[in-house]
Amino acid sequence: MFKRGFPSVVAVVFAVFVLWPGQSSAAGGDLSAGAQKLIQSMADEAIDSLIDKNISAEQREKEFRRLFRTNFDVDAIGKWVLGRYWRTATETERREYLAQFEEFVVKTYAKRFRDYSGEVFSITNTSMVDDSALVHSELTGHGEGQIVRVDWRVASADSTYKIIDVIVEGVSMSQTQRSEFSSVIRRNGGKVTGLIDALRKKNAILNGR
Amino acid sequence: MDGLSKGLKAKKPIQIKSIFKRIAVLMVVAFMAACASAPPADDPESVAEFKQINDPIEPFNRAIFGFNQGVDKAVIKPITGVYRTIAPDPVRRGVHNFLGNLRAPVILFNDIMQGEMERAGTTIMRFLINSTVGILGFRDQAAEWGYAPHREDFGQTLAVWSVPEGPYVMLPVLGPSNPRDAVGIVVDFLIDPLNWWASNTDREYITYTRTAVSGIDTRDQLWDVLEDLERSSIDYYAAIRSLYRQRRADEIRNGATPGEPPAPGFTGSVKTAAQTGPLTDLSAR
Repeated sequence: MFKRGFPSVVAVVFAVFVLWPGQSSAAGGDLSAGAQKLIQSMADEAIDSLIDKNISAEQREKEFRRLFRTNFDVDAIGKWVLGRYWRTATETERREYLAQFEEFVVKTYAKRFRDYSGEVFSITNTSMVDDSALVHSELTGHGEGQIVRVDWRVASADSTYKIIDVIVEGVSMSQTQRSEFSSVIRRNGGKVTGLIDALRKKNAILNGR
Repeated sequence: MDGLSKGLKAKKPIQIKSIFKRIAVLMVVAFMAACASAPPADDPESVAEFKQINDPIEPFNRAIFGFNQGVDKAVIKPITGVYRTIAPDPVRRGVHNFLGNLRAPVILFNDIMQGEMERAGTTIMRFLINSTVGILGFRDQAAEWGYAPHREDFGQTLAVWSVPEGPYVMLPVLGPSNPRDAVGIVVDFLIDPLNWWASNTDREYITYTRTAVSGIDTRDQLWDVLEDLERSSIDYYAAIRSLYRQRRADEIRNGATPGEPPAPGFTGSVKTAAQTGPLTDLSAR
């Protein structure tokens, strides 16, 4: 039970940016076509800039941050992840939280691309869920016959497309973070500052290594 | 980490006994603390969140989690570390495949119980191919021939039968679970023909060995992931809880896309998290 659950997290590792342009299926509607295009082009860029073993950690982080900002709706994700505590947070807390949140994601994910080992990524198809598109993709080459499912949730506004969630083997990254963050806040007496401090501390540790 | 406790028990019964005593003490303390953690009824948002998290005995579970981490650090991880050092990748993969092949009867049983006849067929084909061409299951030849592996267990079968999961429970040594999955572990153990055969022929050591090796194999499989998760989480316990529940839900659906998963809204679009309100998201789960 637990066994198969976790390899999926490792998958995110490679998956989040190490995409291989695959065969695209006929997409219905503007949103799914646009969403697919977004994932595809991000894949090309990630291949070019992130998996090179020779680049420095700083360089990789910088590239990752750029890709993250361009392709993800960072503020919307950060806001949703904070859940109901967003409303009670002050303007200063919100700003500080979003800054620390972005730092946290960049620090934790960028490092993972160093370990890329030739997995192949392909987009399988796209479906519509609610008012967003779900781009389904697969990551192969992990082990004998192992396939990891990665779904990208993409929303659009005014013909801009942005990723709002990544779901690996059924595990939503946003949902997981939301659950974790709210737990930290509750354990700090319902204060968002408790979370901000925890993030700041974590970022400092991640920076040190 | 199924059944690692049984493996330990076989070798060190005394230690386990004192561990259980410690657990009993922790239980009492934690349960008292747990009662205090329920939110006030006049705060509907807190109540909704409390229900969504589905962890009413959280302080107790956290205590068990702390204990599990101790056991891991002192026993399971060091043993697995040695295993990783002495056994090269292909060997460990072979062991993993072998153990997976032994599980085929249990998977088949659950495929059938869920009415998944196509998957049952795959399970049979996999078992036939891997037990022969796959050299007693050490090679996953079936996967290469298009019969991809899948997991089933009685916890999932109960879910398909609409049995509710019950509250989140952290089991000693075995890790994250819930009453439904805990019952599943027991049933899977009882229906496993290899276990019958071992106990009918006075070869219990086979069951113990298999359990211990499975435990080490599981820890080995989780090595990188847990390492990474612990490093990158600010509340390791909460991260594992969320992962476990989402993963199980996905396994129960056999990987199908759920209807309307909660997700962040788009800043530019009409619907944002703040506008729809987190409560909608919570109740949608």
